[in-house]
Amino acid sequence: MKPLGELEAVVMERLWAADGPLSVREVQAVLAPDRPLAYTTVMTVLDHLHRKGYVTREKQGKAYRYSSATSRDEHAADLLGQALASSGDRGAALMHFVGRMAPEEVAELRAALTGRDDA
Amino acid sequence: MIAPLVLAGYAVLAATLGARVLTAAPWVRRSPRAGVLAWQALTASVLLASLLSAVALALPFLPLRFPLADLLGSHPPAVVAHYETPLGVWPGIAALAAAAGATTVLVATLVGSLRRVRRTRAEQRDLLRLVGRPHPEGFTVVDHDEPAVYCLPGRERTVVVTSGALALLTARERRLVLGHELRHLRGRHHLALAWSDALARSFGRVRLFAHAHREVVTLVEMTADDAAHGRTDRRTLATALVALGTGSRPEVALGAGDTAAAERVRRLTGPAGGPRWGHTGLVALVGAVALSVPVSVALAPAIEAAARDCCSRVFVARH
Repeated sequence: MKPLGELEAVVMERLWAADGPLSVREVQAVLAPDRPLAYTTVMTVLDHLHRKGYVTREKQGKAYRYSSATSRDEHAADLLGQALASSGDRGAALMHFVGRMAPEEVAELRAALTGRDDA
Repeated sequence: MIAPLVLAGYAVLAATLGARVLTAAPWVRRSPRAGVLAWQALTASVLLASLLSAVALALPFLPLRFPLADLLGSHPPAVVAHYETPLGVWPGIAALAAAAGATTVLVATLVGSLRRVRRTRAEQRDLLRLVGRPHPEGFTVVDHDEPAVYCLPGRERTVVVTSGALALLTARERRLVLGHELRHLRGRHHLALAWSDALARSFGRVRLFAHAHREVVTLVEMTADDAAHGRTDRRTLATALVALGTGSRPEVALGAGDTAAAERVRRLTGPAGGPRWGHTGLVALVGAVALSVPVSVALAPAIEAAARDCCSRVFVARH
């Protein structure tokens, strides 16, 4: 069985691509050609996503219909926001290649880089 | 009585003079890996000396005096006599309380930052699964205009590159930046950073630890920069540093500016010194000495007691 985390990504992909809210049955149907999954599996994954706040759901008749709570871009912004915010206390959680350079230094360093190329 | 004073004096001297020596030493920047080791040895030595100073002061009433006397073939009263102070047990109690307090603060800080780190990484991994896509060169791409590159250590370690950074870098720069991040991951640099960070946070008033953390942050980056060999590659990495350090949108730049970045660029474009790996062995040796000095000083009175009080008797008994 595939790890749930990876399925979450696959399901989110479909919800982002969908025009409107989808029921568990519909999610299962769009996934079926690539990934035939059990109804209960799809339901569990959607439930997890709901608990994380990644999807919203509304009851329609007897079943829930799910739609993504945030767009892909918003998630990417969250990810980067957290990563950049932690650049202040560098270290333990993640390591940046480089933080923000002071503008006055950038001009000097650029000059140094090109200057030696000409020499 | 003398040992705790010598230990405290050593701690103060090492914290001030040692820090000054390491800050000025040119080889630290040339062999940053050895430099990290040197700062770790210095801070550990100071920490150990302070702790042992308290233990030595409190030894007359610590249960430790029994096994210690046993180990040296002496009697507890003879050993204790060499550690007693004219002020009775109170200096020992005060020092022990201070040492226990400091240890508690350090452990609490470590546990707290470990939790924070775990949470941040779990959230990062969660979001990466949703929005990251694998690049054929082995890193994870996230669609975002802000040019950024970072690595996520630990379980499922990975290097994250934004589409903004991909657009900014040439293929050669990308390869070198990736090499830099992989060296972070392979070298487990996050552990060195976590430790120096915890010391700096726990003992904010001790300037040595804050200074050591700043140095380790810079030296760890330089160690990773040295993944780039040769004049051309080092210049290319420097170009990538400036490109990514400038970014595109200043409003996204949170936190403090990167004070080490300019120094790294100058180092990469400067005359090639190349890391000297011999430094690491030498530093390891000096570090081992730095760690054994406090232990020897702390034990000296006990050994003296054993020698003076019991040596003749032990000698006779064995022959």
